Amino acid sequence: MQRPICEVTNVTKCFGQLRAVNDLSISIENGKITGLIGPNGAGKTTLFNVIAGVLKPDKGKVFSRGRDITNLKPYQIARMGIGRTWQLIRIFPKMTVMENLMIAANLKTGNTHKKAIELLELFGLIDQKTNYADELSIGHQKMLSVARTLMFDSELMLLDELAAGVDPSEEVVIMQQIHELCEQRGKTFFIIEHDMDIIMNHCDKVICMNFGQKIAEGSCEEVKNNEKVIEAYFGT
Amino acid sequence: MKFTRKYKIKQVTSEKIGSSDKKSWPYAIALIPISFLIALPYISSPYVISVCFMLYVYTGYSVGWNIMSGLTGYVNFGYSLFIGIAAYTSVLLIIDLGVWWPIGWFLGGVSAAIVAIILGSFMLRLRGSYFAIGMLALLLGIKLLYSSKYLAPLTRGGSGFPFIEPLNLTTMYYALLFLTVLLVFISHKIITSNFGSKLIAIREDEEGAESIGINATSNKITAFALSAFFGGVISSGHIAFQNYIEPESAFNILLTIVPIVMVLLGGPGTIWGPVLGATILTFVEEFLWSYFITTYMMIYGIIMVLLVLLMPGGIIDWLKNRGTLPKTRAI
Repeated sequence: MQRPICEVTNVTKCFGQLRAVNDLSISIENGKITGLIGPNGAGKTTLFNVIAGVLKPDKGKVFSRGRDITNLKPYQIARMGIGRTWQLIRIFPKMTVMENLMIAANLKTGNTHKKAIELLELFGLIDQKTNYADELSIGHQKMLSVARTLMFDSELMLLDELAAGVDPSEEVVIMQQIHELCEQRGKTFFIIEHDMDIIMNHCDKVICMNFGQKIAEGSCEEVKNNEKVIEAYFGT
Repeated sequence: MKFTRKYKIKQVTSEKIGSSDKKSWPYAIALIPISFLIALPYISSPYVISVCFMLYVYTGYSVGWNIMSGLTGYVNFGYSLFIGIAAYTSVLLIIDLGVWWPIGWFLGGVSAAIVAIILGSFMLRLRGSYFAIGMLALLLGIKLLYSSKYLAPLTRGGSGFPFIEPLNLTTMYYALLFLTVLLVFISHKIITSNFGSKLIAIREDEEGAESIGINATSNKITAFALSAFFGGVISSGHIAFQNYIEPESAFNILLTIVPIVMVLLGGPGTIWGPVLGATILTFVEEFLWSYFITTYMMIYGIIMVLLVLLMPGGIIDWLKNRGTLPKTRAI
């Protein structure tokens, strides 16, 4: 059996007195879509930053296929096959749409130009491929950031609130792409999402965090009915 | 693994960014003024040759500064540090050791690049205004070092020394013209390359660039060294024209500020922006200086403020936004 592409063991990350992530241990199953939920301030994005190497944990380790990646730099982690998107749109605004995709193909082999064109067609951005990215509408910028992630098809993709600001039809396209990559190419997805429909309809497993700790883990049904999760979202 | 790596690089560089970047028409257009500039020493006065010489010097500095700061967004206020170091290296090699001047100029650039690699390894950990101020502080510190008694056996201290390199004005003119054209050509290759894309990605969003596997530190240091090398080679020619070297003029902060203004006017991060900015400002300054000797700096300042307000991204960006120029990086 393959070792997990991402394993977090006893990770703690503090900002001053605040424990954003507190002694957290999780394991991401290969080839599955894992959802990460929790109220605002639960430490979800901090956990992503720790996995992606943007933040170094105060305690604990992060492993990828058994290799300790805790102290690697973000670009080294990306080159190991762990890609990410950000909560806020982070495209390269003064690059054209096409350039944004091609720069993301930096680590990829194969016909990258063809792949970029396919993605632009899929997301309806083909007519704007020579425009600067900051000339796109917010919705299209979000689509571009998604397309860039798909262009950079790592083994594990950390997607931070991917569907926020995307209209329902575009959301369907994105989720179809994710399922296709997951089922046909064995990619692994770890997604933070506030839209519970997306979590419940698309995730194989869900992890719930609150105050930096894992409060529940399991199938969608198990987490949905977990008392601690209900309490975290709705109070007592 | 080695094969895969080579394959990846080939893929990206051959398929990057779209076909418009591979057009060579800017070179064809550039051939017309270059032909004229080649003929210039035969048809004009030494004064015109001197003005054009300074045009090449400032174009070279601007192109060099643009490679680092225009592409990565790390504003280098210590550029004259490299200019000064290269100037001293080349003069000492040529005058004291009798090195052939082209080799001396080249080694001047190499010395600046080596210093850039050393400084860049820690200075490029700083960002934004911290980097800018840090470079400025280093410039002042190294200028003091070159004026001090510790380096006086080499530099002859703060008062400097006169020298004559074994080449005349026409030779210097052609050497600088050749170097400027070469640097613009190399700049074109860099900006339209995969390396150039990485530098622009770093400028746009450094964390985002790292998240797609770009090693920001090594790319920044490479750009820093190239930028210093460009400035250093040009500086070696510039100092040969002056026939006198002393720390105050070799490390003059105006040699940083003027190229910055030129790049901002023409268009940072573009190929032809620095060339355009340097051309316009060299001739405008010369004109104003000739006709408004007491007020030319004030008029010059007003023109600069207006241009920056009206065209914040520079002339090239303004023309691209108007649709006059295509939005390709090959301009």
